[in-house]
Amino acid sequence: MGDMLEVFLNEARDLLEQLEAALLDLEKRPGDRELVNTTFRALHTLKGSGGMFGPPAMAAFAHELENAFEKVRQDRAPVTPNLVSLLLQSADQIRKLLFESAGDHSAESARLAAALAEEVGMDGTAAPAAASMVVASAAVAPAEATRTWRIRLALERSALAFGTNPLSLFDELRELGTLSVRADADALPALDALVPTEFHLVFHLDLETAAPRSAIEDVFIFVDGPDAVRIEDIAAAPASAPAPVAEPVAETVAPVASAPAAPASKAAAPTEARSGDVPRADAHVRVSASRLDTLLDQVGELVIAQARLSALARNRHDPVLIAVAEEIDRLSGDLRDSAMGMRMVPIEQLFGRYRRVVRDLSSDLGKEIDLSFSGEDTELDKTVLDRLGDPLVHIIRNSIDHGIESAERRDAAGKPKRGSLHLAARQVGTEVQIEIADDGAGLNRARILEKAVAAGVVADGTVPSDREIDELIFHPGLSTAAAVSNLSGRGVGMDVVKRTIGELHGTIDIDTRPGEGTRFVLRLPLTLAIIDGLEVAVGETHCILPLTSVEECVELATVQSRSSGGRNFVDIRGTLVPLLWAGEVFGGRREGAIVVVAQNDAGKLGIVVDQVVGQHQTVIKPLSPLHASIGGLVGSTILGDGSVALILDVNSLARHAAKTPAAADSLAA
Amino acid sequence: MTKSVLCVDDSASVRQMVSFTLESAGYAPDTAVDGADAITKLDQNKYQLIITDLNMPNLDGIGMIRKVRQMPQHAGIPIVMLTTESDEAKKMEGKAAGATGWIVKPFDQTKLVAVVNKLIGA
Amino acid sequence: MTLAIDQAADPSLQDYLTVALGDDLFAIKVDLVHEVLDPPPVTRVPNAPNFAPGLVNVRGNVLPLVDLRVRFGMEPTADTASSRVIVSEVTREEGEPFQVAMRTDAVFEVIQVRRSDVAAMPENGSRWPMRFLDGVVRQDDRFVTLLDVSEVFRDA
Repeated sequence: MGDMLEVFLNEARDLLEQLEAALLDLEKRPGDRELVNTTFRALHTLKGSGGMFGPPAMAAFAHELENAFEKVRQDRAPVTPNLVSLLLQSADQIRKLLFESAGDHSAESARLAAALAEEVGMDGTAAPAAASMVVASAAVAPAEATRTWRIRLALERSALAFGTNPLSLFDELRELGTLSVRADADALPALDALVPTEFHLVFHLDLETAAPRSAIEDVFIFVDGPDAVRIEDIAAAPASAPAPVAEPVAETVAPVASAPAAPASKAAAPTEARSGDVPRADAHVRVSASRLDTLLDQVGELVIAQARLSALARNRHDPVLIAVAEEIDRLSGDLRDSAMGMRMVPIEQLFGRYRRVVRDLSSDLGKEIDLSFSGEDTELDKTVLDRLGDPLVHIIRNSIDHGIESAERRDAAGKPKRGSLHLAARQVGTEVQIEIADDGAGLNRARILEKAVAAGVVADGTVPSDREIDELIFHPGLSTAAAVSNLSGRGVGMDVVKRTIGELHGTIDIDTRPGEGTRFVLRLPLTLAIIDGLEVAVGETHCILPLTSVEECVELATVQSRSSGGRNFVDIRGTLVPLLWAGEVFGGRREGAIVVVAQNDAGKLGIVVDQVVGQHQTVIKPLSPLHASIGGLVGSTILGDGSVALILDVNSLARHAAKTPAAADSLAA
Repeated sequence: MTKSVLCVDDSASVRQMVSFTLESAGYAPDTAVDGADAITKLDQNKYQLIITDLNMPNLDGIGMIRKVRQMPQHAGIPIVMLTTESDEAKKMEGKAAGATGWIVKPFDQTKLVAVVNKLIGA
Repeated sequence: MTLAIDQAADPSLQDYLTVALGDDLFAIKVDLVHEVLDPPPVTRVPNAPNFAPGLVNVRGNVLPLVDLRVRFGMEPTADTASSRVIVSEVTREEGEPFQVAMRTDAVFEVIQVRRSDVAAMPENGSRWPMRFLDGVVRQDDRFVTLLDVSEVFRDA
């Protein structure tokens, strides 16, 4: 039962996200009825579940929100930007009440509730929650003496059809004492006029019980209709025969039937299903991340064992065994894809949250920002996504706070008044690339350099290159905000951003042009992957290249003979492909026999290896911290014969090779 | 024979609580996420009782109750609405549409079991 | 294994595994040691730090092979019949602990070290980086230097 709370908290998180998304859309389309309903439903469910599982402060607050928004739903109050702002703040408040339960948030709750009430024009505070109905147990108060009650029960015509079972009622009464039942069929129509589902009997019941009147009334709690139930106390003495019925004072069971039928004039029409296709609710299952981890580990082990099986089968030269091994290969590949798929979530989940961040920031800073996305369906491993959240927010905040200029400055510079921020994601080979681009003023290199010198990070008088100055923003202790603003200066710094991305074995690059804007490019390897790999041999070492990066393999001798500058470039069907000598990268000589033509960001790259061994599924095992920052390497794996192979990444190799001079003897880096 | 109960609510936490409670009380609970989902289940299965929220997407409680009352295979099945204390009008509407009884939210497990026992208890 | 009978009760006693690197004896806390095995085949990692030359497969896990001799400034040697690899856990201040496979020239017994018997390393006399070491203790007529494994593998 303890995880009931967890289910509720997860549900609340989802609801709050839905609520926010609906509110952000509602701000743009205030007349959209569907959005109003969606918003109301989210508030309603938060209130309902909150009342049952959440802290009382949260339930009470949610209640206020629902009340206020009810007016909007009934078209008695309009959707205004101020209302949306208040509701967004209220969503934050609910988060605090649920997830930061230490601390007193009552002042803020009261403020928001009052502001909302005023905004929608409500008078006074909402009615306090009425006491919920209690279904009394059949316990009899021992002190009371037994009394006899006469009960007249006249159920409505529709009672039976609507699920009331008189026999159940009688059983319940029997739990209270001795019951005798007499049915009165006077109202029964003639057989040919009788509709069998309609109910016409009237029951006269005599009940001897020591239970209080309220216990009897409780039995008939669901019985409705004026005059349906009449309960009358006949005599205190135990009666052996029912006393003749005196004119009963019509007593109806109190809370049930007395409410006059409220006019069904509320504006909100029930959300009937649209005629035609009613979409099924999305069938999703929540699975704990650690269970997925276990599953993935097991799939990984299976892939390795299956590789050993394949190797054995080939060695035995047994065609039947080989066929079975191939079948298992195919099946485990499918299993791998399914298991991988489970942990991958579209980056849309992250991007969606940023709409709120950008909206709040732009309103706080008085800058209008157009936020756009591309590649939102690019998928990332969930744990990577979770860790990216904060770094990306920080970069976005920086862009809006420092990068994008005020409307006046932009106007003066001939830029559109509204700044634009673009988030893009795409998968390239074994990497996911995420870009955050703004069309602001670019990095202020002069200011950065100034700060760096003042902080002693750069010696006075040195003239670093533009690229080096850009990289300085990642240096701890260098904050270029003139005033440490709430928004971007405190706590998280660009140095933490860089470190987090490093821990994810990724890189972050800056591309900035003064006056035009800044683009951050994050590259993250999909380290938790099982990929299709091409196994190659470089000297004694076996390596794996991700198959998605590989275009083709050609014999070095063939292409070399046709081209000029044969050591650094080769001509492949008219395209000049730069060569990367894997042997050299590994500290050996420029030797090799096969060119693996791979695709990276900058174009094609020909990786020269000694031999291509074959292709197979590869489980990427991450490198330990001792080897994690070696250029070109992205992981390791275990081959079918139990030996360890290195997994190479094309981009990483190219970057590494670019840094080291191409002399054969200077590769200790 | 164990009596089966269908609980219809778009809140996962309510569904889970009701299922757990009813199962502990000896019933066989099933769940649906909204009115439309419930109708699909009702097309395929038989239940002894339906507990339903009123405010749900796709097909809300009232709409679902009306549909159930038109399904001959479920004639006379007791239907309990989950209402909020302030929504008297909704409750009336529910009763008119064919609900048998109601439980006011927030409710606790004892109350839930008491109402279910009341309507279909052994 | 020469374990004293009443060792469980005394918290000031700690178990250490003694190993040889060349002529010198070192010791590692037993609770960090996962297993001891014969040297497995090593896959060389290009451009790796000199004390972590390669990777090994230990029951399906790929672990970095660390040459403690190199870490301690000695010349690396080929494996001998007594060479052993110790799989040990390395904790870090920031981040998850990870495992390493440490190559040693020989593995001896588990000894019990009483904290009060541990002497600090002499400042000048040590040929080895001070931060790697946790003190020295006498065992019979030899000196055994205690290793601080997480320090040994903290980025140089």
